[in-house]
Amino acid sequence: MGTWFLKLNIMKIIKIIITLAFIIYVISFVSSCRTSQVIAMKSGAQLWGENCVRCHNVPSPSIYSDKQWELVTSHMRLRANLTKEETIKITEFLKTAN
Amino acid sequence: MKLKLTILFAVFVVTCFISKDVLSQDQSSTNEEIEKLKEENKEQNKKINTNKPGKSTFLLTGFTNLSYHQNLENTDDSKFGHAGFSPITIWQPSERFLFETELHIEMEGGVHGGETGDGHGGHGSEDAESHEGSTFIDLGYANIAYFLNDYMTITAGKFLTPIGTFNERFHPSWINPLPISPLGSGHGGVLPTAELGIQVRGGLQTGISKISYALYVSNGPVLEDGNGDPERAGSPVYSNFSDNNRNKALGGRLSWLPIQNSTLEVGISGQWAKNIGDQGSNYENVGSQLIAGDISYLINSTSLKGVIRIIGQYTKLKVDDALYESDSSDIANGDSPFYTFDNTSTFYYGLISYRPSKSGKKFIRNTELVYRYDFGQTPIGSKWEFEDARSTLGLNYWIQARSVIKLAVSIGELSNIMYLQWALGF
Repeated sequence: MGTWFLKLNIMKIIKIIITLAFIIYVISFVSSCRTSQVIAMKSGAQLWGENCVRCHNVPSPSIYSDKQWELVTSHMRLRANLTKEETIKITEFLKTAN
Repeated sequence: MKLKLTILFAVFVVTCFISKDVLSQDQSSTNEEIEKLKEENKEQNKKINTNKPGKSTFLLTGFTNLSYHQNLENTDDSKFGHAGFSPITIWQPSERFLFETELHIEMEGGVHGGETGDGHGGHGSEDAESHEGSTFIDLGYANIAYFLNDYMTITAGKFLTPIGTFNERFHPSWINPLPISPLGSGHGGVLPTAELGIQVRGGLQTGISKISYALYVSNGPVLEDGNGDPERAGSPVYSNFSDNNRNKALGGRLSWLPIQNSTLEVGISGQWAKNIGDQGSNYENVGSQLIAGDISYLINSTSLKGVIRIIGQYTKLKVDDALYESDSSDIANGDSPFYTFDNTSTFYYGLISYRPSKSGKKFIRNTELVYRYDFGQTPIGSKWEFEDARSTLGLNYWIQARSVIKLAVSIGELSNIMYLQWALGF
């Protein structure tokens, strides 16, 4: 197997990472100007089902209070790289189902 | 007629006077009632405000597990090998800030290839054996996060290393489908578990697909040059959080979820550290590069009446070659005073699981069949050289959504072991 990635100059790597970070920031800025149609079409229940079961079983919404779910979903926003919109929809669904 | 009208007028006037008096009395009484209610309302509000939670919120959650293992080749080697308790605290002082910590409190009766399921103790461990029979406490992570915008979060502190997916997502024992971690992963394993630094991460919706990213700068690993532990000479120590030079490690992970329902994820990750040796030492310019690829796919099948999960991860770790001092006993035996080796380690695993979650029978619905093949190899010629390939077959029974009993048999090149574990998320 080729190991070209192991031989990259560190400065090139820094440049690549900075460029990637800049591109991601620009995309995120542009994306934030409009609501994603895909997420807008999905319900909180659907997003909950799609994102959570990728890694673990989904517990009953009744195990936490509304306030606790806000904390859990913020924690999972960080862990699963959820967008704010996804997090809000999932939280609202869990509160409704609670 | 005139008299009648006069009498009527007189009666009307008298009635008005009387009514006015009565109304005045009623008005006074009503005002008193209103004042009384206002006072009562004030008192009630005081009571409510005393017990009303503030905007700052706190949650204690986490997981725990107890494991038993039976060496299939040595019947004397059977014991309750590991008990662990990992509380996670989440504190959100405001909408944009989040503080999270995870603590590992573990009592280890024996370490056999990462016998924990919470990522503690993979093969190639620099210190796994030293924990045997003792209680081990470790801060898994502790970081503060700031939600910068809808798609970007900054975290600072000790955070889980986003290399591959096992470390960040599957290390809790109630999430890991098997009682043991893949070779090389977990605390005490060769691969990193946490970094001390700053990280930017988030997710972006791009059409029907989604991109997930994490970029970080951290202290990075420290090279064990043999002065501290000659048996580990050449290994990068990720659990050492004191930076031994001015150079920082750069790393991150980028993944793509091409399908609209996010069931498929393909990721690439890496970490680069230019200098990991002690500053001013002969090893100052030794660097390390870590690269990983990962894939996960979830199939929700009606025809198979259940869910199939496929997970894979490949990790390669390269440390620049260097000369290390031989032991005095080796030199006495005629070996060269210095030795070197190709400092490359490789780890990979593939996992497939099936849970018949749509079966009509509850018992069947709660079972899960898991198979994982994992391989690990540390540098050939090093004093920490090791190679193993394992096939692990597991049968899980889910008592609740976050409580599982796992039975697994692992057949490896080095040992054959049966594991039993009860894991509980709370």
